[in-house]
Amino acid sequence: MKKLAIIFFIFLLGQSVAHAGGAHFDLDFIPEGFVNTRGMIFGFIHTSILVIGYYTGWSINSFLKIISNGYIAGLFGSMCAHVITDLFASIVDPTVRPYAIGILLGGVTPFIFIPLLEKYVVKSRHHIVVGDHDDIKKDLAKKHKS
Amino acid sequence: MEHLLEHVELLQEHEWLRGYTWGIIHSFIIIVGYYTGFSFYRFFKFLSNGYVCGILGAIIAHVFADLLASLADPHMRASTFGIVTGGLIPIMFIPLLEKFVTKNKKHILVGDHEDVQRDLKEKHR
Repeated sequence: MKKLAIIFFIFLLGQSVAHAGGAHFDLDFIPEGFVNTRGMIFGFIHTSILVIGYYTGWSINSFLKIISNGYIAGLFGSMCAHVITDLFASIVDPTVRPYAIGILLGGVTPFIFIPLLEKYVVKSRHHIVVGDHDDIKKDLAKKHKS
Repeated sequence: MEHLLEHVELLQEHEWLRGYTWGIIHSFIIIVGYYTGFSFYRFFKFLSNGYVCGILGAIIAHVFADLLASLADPHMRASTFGIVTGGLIPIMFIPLLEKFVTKNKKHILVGDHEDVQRDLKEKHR
């Protein structure tokens, strides 16, 4: 059924393109100069660090956990690691380098809400879990909203 | 967002604060996902009937968060296309890594409770 729906959708799309003769598919809504490679290195490094951490265990999150004797862990640790990743990626990419400090400060700002949220919010059972194996085991044992 | 930023003089006066909005939105998306369970990750998982999950889901959700943050920040908007395409490039290494790399026991876990529980049962180095 799902496959049929997809085939039907592709057929409809093909028909509408053929009939419109491309008239309705002009790309005027895309700002001029939008399709460029600015920020590509940033994006690549930003995602690659996640992939490296996932497969090898060498991650900024683990590094921060080790140097802080386990104090910087869980959400706080992953956010710190994320901000460092942003900073690193933005410094490496020359086109994003002028924004590095802004990105760092903006990334750090939501930290101020964490103590409040930790105090007043019971996490949903479907919440996103971040961290290494130890953090995760600790999180799974915690109380969650059903 | 631009309308809001027009009223924040601090962000207009200091050039070194460019990218601030991007940083806030990007980090805030994690917090929202962590506490509420409303996340791009779960959205894509739900939308794809569970096919887009694990590291692939995390990357796609991350790139989507980048996209949203870049579009919201007028200073970063010109780099949106590059950030998104650059962010998607590492996806092509995943099949190879999945085939040839046995994950370390200390690797970073990403996902919701179900994914994480599944990962904990998997074989690790």
